[in-house]
Parts: sequence; structure tokens; C-alpha cells
Amino acid sequence: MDDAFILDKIRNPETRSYGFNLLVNTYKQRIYWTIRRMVIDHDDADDLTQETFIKIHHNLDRFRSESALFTWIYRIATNECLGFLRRKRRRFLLPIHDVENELASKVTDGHQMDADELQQRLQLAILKLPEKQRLVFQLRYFDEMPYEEISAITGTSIGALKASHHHAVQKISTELSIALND
Amino acid sequence: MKHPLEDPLKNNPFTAPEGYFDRLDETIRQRITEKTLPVLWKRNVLRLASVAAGLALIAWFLMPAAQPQTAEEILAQISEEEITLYLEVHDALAGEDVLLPAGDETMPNDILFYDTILQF
Repeated sequence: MDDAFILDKIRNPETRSYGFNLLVNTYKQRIYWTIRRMVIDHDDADDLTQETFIKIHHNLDRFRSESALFTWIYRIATNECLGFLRRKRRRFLLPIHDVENELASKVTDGHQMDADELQQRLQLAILKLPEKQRLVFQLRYFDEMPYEEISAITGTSIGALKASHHHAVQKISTELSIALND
Repeated sequence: MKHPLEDPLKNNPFTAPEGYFDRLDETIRQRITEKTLPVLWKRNVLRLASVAAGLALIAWFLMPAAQPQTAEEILAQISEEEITLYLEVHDALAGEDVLLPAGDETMPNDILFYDTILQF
């Protein structure tokens, strides 16, 4: 569904509700999977997806079309994710690697994923990246998002994103090469 | 040798419960209509409630037990003059039934007033 069409419906008070339903329908799967890759657990991803769309609904009047609707939605979703992981660390006073271990155990317990060994190794390697670098890598690798869009979502320069992504690919490739040679 | 990040790895290894995306629209719609508390917040409330209950239990065990006062101790706090005055008044009223109203005139008015309240 075209963003311009959705916005047109949302801006008309008579079709606002219909427009929001179109927005949810268009973006729910992409937003859920982006969140899910970050938090691994389905229940957490479900909560955060709902929160994202509720925030979008409550702030629709604040959207001024200075950015694309797509970018604005993704910015809210990724902020929800990073905020959730930050709160998780703060709540339990956990250092970053303990949160990583908790997420890694969800990858390996078999309930959350239907993955072969190599895919599981990839997910574990991705989890070793710092959170923001992980987000950038996942948006680029899985969602195949252009750097321009990732830049608009994360508020990071394209140059910095390219460097971050390059380092992420190197780290993951090294991890996977070690795993393949085991 | 293929690059370790070859395309088949892009396949989504995660699974969502069956029918999850069909129900998601309705769940979001309900949450917006009901204006319920955020789910994450609800979870935190449960955690906080259990922590608070634990703290209350610890405080209850640590606090010195309140000593109930005996009748003698309560009487010791009242002056002799007050006790004498109380006994004199009590003796004087012993022959009268002070719980009954002096006349029946006040009762119908009270009932009427109550009926008026109920009508609103």
C-alpha cells in the first residue's frame, strides 16, 4: 500500500480510522520481524510491536511529513527496541554481555527458531555486535535497506553507517569461518 | 568457497505463532480503544507488586511487635476525677431509657428525606 494513500486517508477525519488500519496492515509484518530480530523472544517482540503502533496512533497529528512515513514508523520501532534492551540492562544491573547471553540462550533453546546450525551460528554471531551496530547490520542485511533510509531512521551519517556495517560484516564473517572450521 | 554470509542465510529462521498476524490488527485496535496500560508496564507492575509484598513481609518481621494494653493500664491513664464523674452520671441515668427518642415526631421526617434522596 502506498504511503501517500495511507496518509491521505489518515488526514481526513472521516477516514482516519480506516487509514490507520491500512497503516497497521501494511507495516505490521515488517515491523514485527525487525523487532523480533533485535529482541529474539516472540512475547517481547509482540509487546514492542503493539507499543510501536499505539505510539504511532497517539502521535499521528505530530507527523509533519518532514520525513517519509516509512522512516518515521521505523524510527519509533527501533527506538522502542533499543529502549527495551537498555531498560533490560538497567533493571537487572546487567553488563552488556549478560543481556547478550540471555538472548543467545533464546536462540539456542529451539523454541523461538526453526533454524539449521549455520543459521543459528549466524544469529549468535550477530548477537555479539553492539546493539546499534546490530540494528544497522540487520536493517542492511535482512531488510536490504539502502544506507540513505537507515541514516534517516537512526540519525547517523551514511559514512559512519558504511564503516559500522563493514566492521559488523568482518566480525560476523570471522565468527562464522571459525564455526565452519570447527 | 562461498562467502559465509551467503544468501540462503537471509531466510528468516524465526517463527511466529500461527495466525498471529491475523489477530494483531484486532489486538492493536482493542488496546487503542480501551486505552489500557502498556503491556510492558503491566508486567513491571506485577514484578513491583511482588517486590513490595516481600519488603512488607520483611518489615513486619523486623518491626517490634506492638504491645496490646491491658484494662488496668488504660484505667491508669484516666484521672480519678473523670472516673468519679462518669460513675455519678451513669448512676443518675440508670433508671431512664436514654436510647429511645423523646417523641415520635422526628422519625417520619427522616424517612421522607431518605425517600427524596432515593428518588434522585
